Amino acid sequence: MTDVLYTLRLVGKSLRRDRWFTAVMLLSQALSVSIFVTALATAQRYSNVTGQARSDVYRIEGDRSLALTNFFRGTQFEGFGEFTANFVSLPTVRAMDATGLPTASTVGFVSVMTGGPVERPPGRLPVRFVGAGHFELFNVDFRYGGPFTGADERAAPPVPVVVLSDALNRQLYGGADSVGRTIRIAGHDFRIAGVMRQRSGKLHLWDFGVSPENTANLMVPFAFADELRPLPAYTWPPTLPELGWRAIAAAPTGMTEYWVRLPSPDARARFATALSAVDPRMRLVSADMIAARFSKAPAPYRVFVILTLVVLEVSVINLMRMLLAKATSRAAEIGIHRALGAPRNAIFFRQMIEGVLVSMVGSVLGLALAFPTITMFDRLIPDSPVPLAITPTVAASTLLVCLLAGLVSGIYPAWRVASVAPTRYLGKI
Amino acid sequence: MLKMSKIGKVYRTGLVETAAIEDLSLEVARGDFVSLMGPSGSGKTTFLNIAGLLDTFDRGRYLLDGVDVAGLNDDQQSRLRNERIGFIFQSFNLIPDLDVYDNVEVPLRYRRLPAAERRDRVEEVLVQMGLTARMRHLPAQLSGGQQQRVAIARALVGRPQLLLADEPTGNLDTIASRQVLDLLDKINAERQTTIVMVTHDPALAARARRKLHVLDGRLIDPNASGGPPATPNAAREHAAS
Repeated sequence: MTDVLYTLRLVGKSLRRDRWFTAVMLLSQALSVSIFVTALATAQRYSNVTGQARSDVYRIEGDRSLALTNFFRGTQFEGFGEFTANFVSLPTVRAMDATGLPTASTVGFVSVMTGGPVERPPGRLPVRFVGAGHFELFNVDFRYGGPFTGADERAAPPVPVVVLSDALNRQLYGGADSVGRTIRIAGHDFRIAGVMRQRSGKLHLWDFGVSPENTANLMVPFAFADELRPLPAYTWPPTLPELGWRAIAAAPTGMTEYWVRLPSPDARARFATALSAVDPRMRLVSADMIAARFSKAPAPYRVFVILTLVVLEVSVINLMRMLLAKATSRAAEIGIHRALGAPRNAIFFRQMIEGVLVSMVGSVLGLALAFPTITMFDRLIPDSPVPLAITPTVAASTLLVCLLAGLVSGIYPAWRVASVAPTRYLGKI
Repeated sequence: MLKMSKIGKVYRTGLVETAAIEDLSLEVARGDFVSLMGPSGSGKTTFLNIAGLLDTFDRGRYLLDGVDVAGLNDDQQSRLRNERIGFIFQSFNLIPDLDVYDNVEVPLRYRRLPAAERRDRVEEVLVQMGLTARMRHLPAQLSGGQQQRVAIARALVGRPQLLLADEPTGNLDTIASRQVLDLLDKINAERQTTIVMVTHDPALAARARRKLHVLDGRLIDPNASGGPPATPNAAREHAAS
């Protein structure tokens, strides 16, 4: 322990001696790390959604359109090809709900409407119509207030309440408690019942496949669909919007997602049988399987991460060169330590510590620098569905990568310095 | 203490080979004080580096306190160097970032002694060198003579059996040089520390009990007619005669 402390003390003195050189090394590392963090945060937004839904939750899915899947592959809408298979017609939903097998269920579809807080002029407002079961099925946690309930939906007339996401609440009310305030949608007033707590920097499972500009951060009870007459943003096969809500709602066209909770295997089997009778193309897919599809970010975001890794690699090479130059400038001191009994491995270890320390301090600075960087990056994307965030996962991944980078950048200078005969250094004095 | 037999060292630069030391044989007894003189490039420093295990040799055999150094790996050589050899350099070679105390403590750090023992030993040697008042000074805040005393303190703190001094007064004025030589005499007499000192200065060399010359990588012992003295007593008798 005292050896490590002594080594750290010597490394600290070495770094303080060449302050400007050290500052340049740290800055170089910090800049590349901040870019890497931004890429990671962006990729994280579109990946790893495990655990957002309960394990006994299923979605009804139809045949996948391979043409669409291939069409969107490699774009930021990569999941959309999958998304098309998720649409179920309302007659199918009604028929399956009538079986009474699900202990909870919800529909969910997006419609772009007009509205906003009553005190402001109305604007474009993507809205998601959902059933009250939505919040339980997806384990939704609330920052303020709570969800609307089945009773709210079943009341005659239904209670006009809505739920906001954290992102929309921040956008409309600066993040303050907005419960009880009024939002007007298509000329109808709704009271805000709750604000959902968003998993920092991550899309909700139900938002995957939705294009960023249509990502809806406002949940409206499905019971109001008849009154508000929304036109779904997505239908499959496509239908003409001119047909209007009633025609689309009655047509066999897929227009909504349909999630059910089936805790017992028996209920599951019976539900599957009933489903094949209603529509043989449909099947049950577990939420866990769906989440697994989104374990990886779409290709463009993965490429972005890889590109920033290349930048980080250039920075590692740069750091390696600078550490070597710095070690060479301290050659005389190293020679003295060797003459006084320092074995090669002590010199190697000290040089490695220096490399890792510079890399790690640079990384922490880079993480700090990433906060303004991602804010700026978010502003460049006007339809950013979820604010980018440096989550513990992003921070831990970054520090791990930088620890490896530090080891890699330190190893060559350390080996060079430790392997040269001490007389070569002492001769320079 | 030190026994070299037919040591040879060749430096190679491309196709050019330069023999720095050729067939050098030398025996230095424990407690001896040997001076080594010779012109620049004669191989004095190469000899000192080999003797101090800072450099390797191509031929011959070297026994340090009975240990054949050729068979030791880097770790073992470093340990031997740390425990048995002290170095005094012409340009002091103090570490500029470390204060006097920390500079003197360096060899003990590599010996992994307990903190209390390190402190006792450093303080003891600093008292002996009259440096207690300068304990927290950086090398740059000291005079040349003081810096060399720090270097001597650092060389002695590990209680080495062999002290290798390379032009120890080369960068000092006359008064400081005399003080340093008095110190070396005292160390040799009181601690029975073997000293091998390389110097250009005949007056300095004369302070040693045994004077050797190096020329073109070969050792010349002025007392060789009567055979090289092997022990301090023999050397004293030889000098007296």
